[in-house]
Amino acid sequence: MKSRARIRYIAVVAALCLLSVAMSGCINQSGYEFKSGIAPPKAVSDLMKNGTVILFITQNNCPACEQTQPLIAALQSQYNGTNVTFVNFNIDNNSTSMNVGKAYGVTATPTTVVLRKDGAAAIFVGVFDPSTVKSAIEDARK
Amino acid sequence: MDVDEQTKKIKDWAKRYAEKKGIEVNPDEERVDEIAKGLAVRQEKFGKRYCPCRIITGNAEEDRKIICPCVYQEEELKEHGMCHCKLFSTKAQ
Repeated sequence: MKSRARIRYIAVVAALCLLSVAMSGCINQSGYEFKSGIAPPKAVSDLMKNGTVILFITQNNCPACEQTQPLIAALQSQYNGTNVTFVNFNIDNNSTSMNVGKAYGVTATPTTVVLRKDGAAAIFVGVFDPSTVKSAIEDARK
Repeated sequence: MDVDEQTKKIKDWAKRYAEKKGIEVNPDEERVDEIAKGLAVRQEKFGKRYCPCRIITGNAEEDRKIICPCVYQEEELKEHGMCHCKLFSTKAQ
């Protein structure tokens, strides 16, 4: 009886784990996660019509943003001529950029957001590892 | 006080703070100059030394958390060996 109860308990815990993974998106082995349920602001949803979108959210006088700029530029050049769009939103520049930052819960810069067609977002805060972001872009393009 | 003077003052403060806490200022001087300038610009504009890599929300209570040294710094140093903006790092062993 006790062992049956234990098996039932394990089954329930396993089912809950699977459910939570399914609800929160898919955790990739590289460590990033595509989160669903974020409504893209209009400035972003318009861009998503063309394919995969990468948002690079920055602000003025942010050394980490400047440090990440060449990494983004390198990725951008690798995807030249594809349906991957890179857009820089500097939140100090206008309210549209500020709204984009708010939509994706940005509290620190730079924040890089890789968007899948369904709007699910993989979010990278700070200076990123280019190979990890590239994996996320490739996943988003599938 | 102009931004250059403020930048120098912040760099001096960062050294003193790091010594007191048993940590280090990032050995990359160019990076430190940029961060200190970012802090100085915000000090000039907002009256507080807000981290240049974090978002000012306008909510005083929330924004207090990102005045350098920010509340996240200790955990970031433990976890990554550096704070998010890379001003401070743990001491090299």
